[in-house]
Amino acid sequence: MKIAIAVVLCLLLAAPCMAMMPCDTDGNDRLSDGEMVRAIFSYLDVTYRNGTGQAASFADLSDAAYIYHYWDGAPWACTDAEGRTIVFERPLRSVAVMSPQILETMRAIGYPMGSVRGADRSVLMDREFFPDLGECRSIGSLDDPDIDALASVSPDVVFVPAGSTGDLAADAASALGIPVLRFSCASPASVRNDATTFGSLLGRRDGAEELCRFLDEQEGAVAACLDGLPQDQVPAVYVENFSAYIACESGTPAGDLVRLAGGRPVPDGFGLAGVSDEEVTAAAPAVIIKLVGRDPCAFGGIGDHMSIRFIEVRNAIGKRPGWSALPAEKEGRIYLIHAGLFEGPQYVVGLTYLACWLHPDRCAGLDPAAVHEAYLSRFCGLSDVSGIFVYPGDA
Amino acid sequence: MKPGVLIIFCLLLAFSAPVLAAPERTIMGTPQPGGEFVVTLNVSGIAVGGIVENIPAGFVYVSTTHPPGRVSVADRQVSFALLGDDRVSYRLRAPAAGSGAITGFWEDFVTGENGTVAPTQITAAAAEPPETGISRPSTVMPGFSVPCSLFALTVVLFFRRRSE
Repeated sequence: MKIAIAVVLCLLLAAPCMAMMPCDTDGNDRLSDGEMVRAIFSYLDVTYRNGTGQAASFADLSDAAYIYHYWDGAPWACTDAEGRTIVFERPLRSVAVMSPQILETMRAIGYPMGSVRGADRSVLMDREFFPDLGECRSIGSLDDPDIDALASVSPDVVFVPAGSTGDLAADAASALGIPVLRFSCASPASVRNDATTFGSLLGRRDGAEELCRFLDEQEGAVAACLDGLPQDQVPAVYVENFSAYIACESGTPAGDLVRLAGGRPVPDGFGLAGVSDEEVTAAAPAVIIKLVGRDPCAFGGIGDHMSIRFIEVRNAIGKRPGWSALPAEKEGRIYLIHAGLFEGPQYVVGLTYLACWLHPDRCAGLDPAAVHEAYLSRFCGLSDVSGIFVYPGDA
Repeated sequence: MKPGVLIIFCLLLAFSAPVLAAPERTIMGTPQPGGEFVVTLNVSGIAVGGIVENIPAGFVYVSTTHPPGRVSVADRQVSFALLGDDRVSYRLRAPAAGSGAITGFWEDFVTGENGTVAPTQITAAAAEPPETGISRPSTVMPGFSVPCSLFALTVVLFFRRRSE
């Protein structure tokens, strides 16, 4: 009974979006074969046979064909990562995206970048990674959304990161009456779920399936190498965020990937946590992973060929009080990695690097650089790109 | 304009044309005077769309294997509504004598692409004994005849200039 009430409430709360479904002549919110055929013949008659009857416009017929083909002939109810459902009665021809990970996932499943009319400022600053956003306008940032720009772009929907960081941007779009969908595309599980949801909504099911297959293959390769790993061979790993002394524990993308790569994040904790020299030395990590790519370590990635900053940061870690005695420092197992390889669908690249660093003998057959190259060329349309993503360079 | 430059220009023009998933038309068998033959269109690349076929004078539309209700016939035009079909086949009857070309237009409403189906020349002629019963596809590869013609034209111009 409670479930039934919940379902009814959800259906009532689900907001129908955009204009009425085209070519639905009987208004039953379902495009039948007959309605589609009549619309096609009317159009062909007027366009090619000098017919004088009424026909749907090409735009309406295209939308109807899309709904018929991709949405099984009915409005599409999309539920986002925060459990909010929006019912779409037209395909999304124009979108705005406030997260690089969401945009990357959309591109990876084949959504045309020409349909992205607005994007977060940080996305537009990363032209090396997103070179195909020619007509895309900046709509501000998560902290400071540009209301006027958003209103002028007037997208069919705005994609905003799930969680509190996206609240301001989501509220701004909602105030303008623009539908908001919230996803994260951060963890391995959410990337798959979100990609599948995008695939259904954006008419890219095949692309989503191909992406998920690729992720499964790469994760499977790592899992096969770590199969039967004894507990006493699981190394303690200190993962540090961009800022010094901020640890990425379980529940962060980096912390979760360390577990997936056969490691144990230390010190014990959850989320991002401040740590002291004493805490780290007490945890005695066998491996240290340092994230770069954002302030105050905004370097690395596509187009950056200067290793000097990697070396500076690497050496500074070893000079911290008491850290020279750490097993990771003594054995030269301190690695720097661009955070982009831990986020969005690229997490499999980061995972492969981690597995090779944590278990070099078991994972000798893995080639993270090749996985990275394959991902960039197959799912990003980026070939012949170069840059420093990890340090030291060889996994 | 120098012939070399002209050739390069023509080749660039010809090969820069977008390649669409255009339907291909095939005729199985040789149209016999007064006999029937089958025209098949490969439309596997079109999820939701339509095709309009123009039948040349003298030839008569007879029937189709396309689902009833998804075919519309008016004068010498036959339209087909496409809903996930791989191919469309229809039967024509040839006149006692005559020839002409089947022309056609196609629309893909999902991708928004459209274009023409390359014309197919048909002639009602008595079959020669050795060829009886042999299917002869007369598919014209769409988009290929134009580049070939341009290329041939430029080659002729080139050698003509050289001989002068």
